[in-house]
Amino acid sequence: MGNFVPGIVSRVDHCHPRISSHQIEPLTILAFRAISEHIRRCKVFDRKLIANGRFQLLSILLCGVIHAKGITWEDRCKLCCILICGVISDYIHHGPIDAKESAIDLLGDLPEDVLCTIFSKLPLEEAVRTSAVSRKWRYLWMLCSKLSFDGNTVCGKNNYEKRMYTLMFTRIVDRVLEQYRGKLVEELAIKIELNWMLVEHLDNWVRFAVSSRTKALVFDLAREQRQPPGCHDRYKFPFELLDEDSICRLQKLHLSFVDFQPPMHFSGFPNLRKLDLSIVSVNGKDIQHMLSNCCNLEWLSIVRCHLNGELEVNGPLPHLLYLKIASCRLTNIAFHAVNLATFEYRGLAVPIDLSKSSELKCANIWYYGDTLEHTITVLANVLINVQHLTLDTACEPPKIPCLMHYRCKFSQMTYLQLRLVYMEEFNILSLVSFVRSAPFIKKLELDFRFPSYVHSVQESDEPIRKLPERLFNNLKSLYITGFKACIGQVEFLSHMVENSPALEILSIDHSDKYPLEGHEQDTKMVVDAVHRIARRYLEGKISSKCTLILLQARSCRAELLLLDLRLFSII
Amino acid sequence: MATREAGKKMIMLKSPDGMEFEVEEAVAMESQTIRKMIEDDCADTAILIPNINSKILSRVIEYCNKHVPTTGATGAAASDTVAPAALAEDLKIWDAEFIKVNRATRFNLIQAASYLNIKGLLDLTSQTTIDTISDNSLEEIRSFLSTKNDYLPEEEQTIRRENQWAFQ
Repeated sequence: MGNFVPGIVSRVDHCHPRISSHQIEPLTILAFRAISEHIRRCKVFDRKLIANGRFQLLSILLCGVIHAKGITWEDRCKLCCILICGVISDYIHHGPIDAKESAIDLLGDLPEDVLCTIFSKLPLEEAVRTSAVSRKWRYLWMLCSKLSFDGNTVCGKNNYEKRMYTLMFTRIVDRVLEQYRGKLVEELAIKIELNWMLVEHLDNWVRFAVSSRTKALVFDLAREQRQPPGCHDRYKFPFELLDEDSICRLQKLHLSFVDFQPPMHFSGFPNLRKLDLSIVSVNGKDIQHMLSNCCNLEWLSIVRCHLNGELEVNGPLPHLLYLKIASCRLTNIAFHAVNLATFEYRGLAVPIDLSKSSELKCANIWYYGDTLEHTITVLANVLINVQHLTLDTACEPPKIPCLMHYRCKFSQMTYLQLRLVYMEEFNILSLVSFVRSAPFIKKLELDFRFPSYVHSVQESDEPIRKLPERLFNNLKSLYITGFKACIGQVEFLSHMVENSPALEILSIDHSDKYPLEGHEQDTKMVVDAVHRIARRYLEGKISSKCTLILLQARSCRAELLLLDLRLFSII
Repeated sequence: MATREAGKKMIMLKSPDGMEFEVEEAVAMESQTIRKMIEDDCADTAILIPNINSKILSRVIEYCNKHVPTTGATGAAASDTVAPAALAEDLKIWDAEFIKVNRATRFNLIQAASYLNIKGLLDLTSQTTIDTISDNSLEEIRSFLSTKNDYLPEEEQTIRRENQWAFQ
């Protein structure tokens, strides 16, 4: 105690010249001690604050102590008590002031637009939570102009019965929107599994979006699991609720599990930048007409919308940079998008016309129901200037002879990723012909996946086929995953290594890049055998400048990276 | 004064406490606010940056120096040898080091980034705040913000009840 009080006293002297030390009498010192103990316990010195209520309680206690000690209530003592309370109150209020960091609420004083940025990046419930921080923060969270409600987070992980869950969700959304009435809301996002109880609310929320001048609308009503077949009761998008202004205002629209039937003569969203439709029922004609009129579109994704026909968008989309079309049962695709940079397609091998898109640099294609050689010939005409191609081939294995000459050329291609999923071994060496159609390739990635067992080359030297030399002068990195050391892989690998004088990195991974569930990993013995084979066939072919990386199974990979960094290279 | 030196245009930035910083125009133009001033030809003499003291301003310039796109004569060597991915990784590490400052400095940096309109810096500086608010209890948020709870207990209860779902 003795060592503590003088500190306080000097502080008191310093801060409040109206109290001088001779006024602090023995009993008030006692009270001081009680308070100081309390302060110490409450870790004020660790810069935590004592709640106001607790301080009041303390003052009462202090008076109680003085009273119990039988002090006569003379004025001087009373005054002293009040003053002491005042000093301590001040002290607690201002906290121990760090010389370097002032104790004002720095964040709350930031300009509104900065706070708005910060709040808009927070999940809504976190933003709402800040309303309990202090009075100043009471309404600050409402600077957040992106309202995103996700059933899973809003209703928590409680296992409510479905009806209850929906009720909770709608109540919460309505409550927040009520507080936002009359304010501008940049984005409104709703994510919950659709059921009939929601329909009326969804309509109301569209009304809210219209009145709050919302620029982005997200209605993600799909189930988490795949929809059962024949489930067609989708939410009918209420075009009738949108007025001219709101149609012009809309910049982003993301709909999932929605019935999207634009009214007759609907002339598109003139300022729409981003459109994301997934599991949406829409008529082919309608969407072609609508898209032709969304001339500011930058980003378009249409996934699992069964158009059962063609998708020919004739109106120019000069701003379109990204286009994704997946599983839409199309017969034909045509877009007029001169600045398109990225194109993703997944679906049947249908004619694609992107001839106007000379800027197309990046493509990711999953083209099924076709042979690899035909796929390549078709794509070479579509993706003339592509630099980075990812090609999934679940198609027929190539039946081409080892050295088919592709007349087509991918003259700009520098990066090729091939995902090869075949039931059994195929003529892997023939892939060399494909790679040759991209003479300037810098980086090549092959992901093999054989769902069934494939034989690896026997340990005794098995003769392998060789192709005539043709150099890939720019090839710097070659990555192979799913390397089982079957004869075709070994042939391909040794050809590529022999013909790539500039190769810097060669990585061979035994495990699959996209492993099938329930597939057991091979034992270390098998992996070692595969590595042994790879080493044997590479010996003498790989240049000293090239780093060879032989990867183990996924589970031991972390360990390997730490311990087995003696990346073995053969000269 | 805007001077020419080895083909690079220099811009003088002045903080309210009288310090002057000479920076390349390209670096200064990382700030959209300054870019606009330069483009509108309001930057003949030194540009006074109000509200931002020299300590903070020098840190902001440090950030811009690092983040200015490395093109042209000086940057060519760097971007040729280092892959863009590696470069981005490098910047990330640098950013993480840069942001290791005390709270007051960080809030000042947020303010500066906002005034000067430097998106990258604003994102970087506000991210910590966002993380703190999302990951911590109210009490911890208060202590982080150096703000105190001035609600009466019953008031706080009411507020919690109003949006109960967020407090579960």
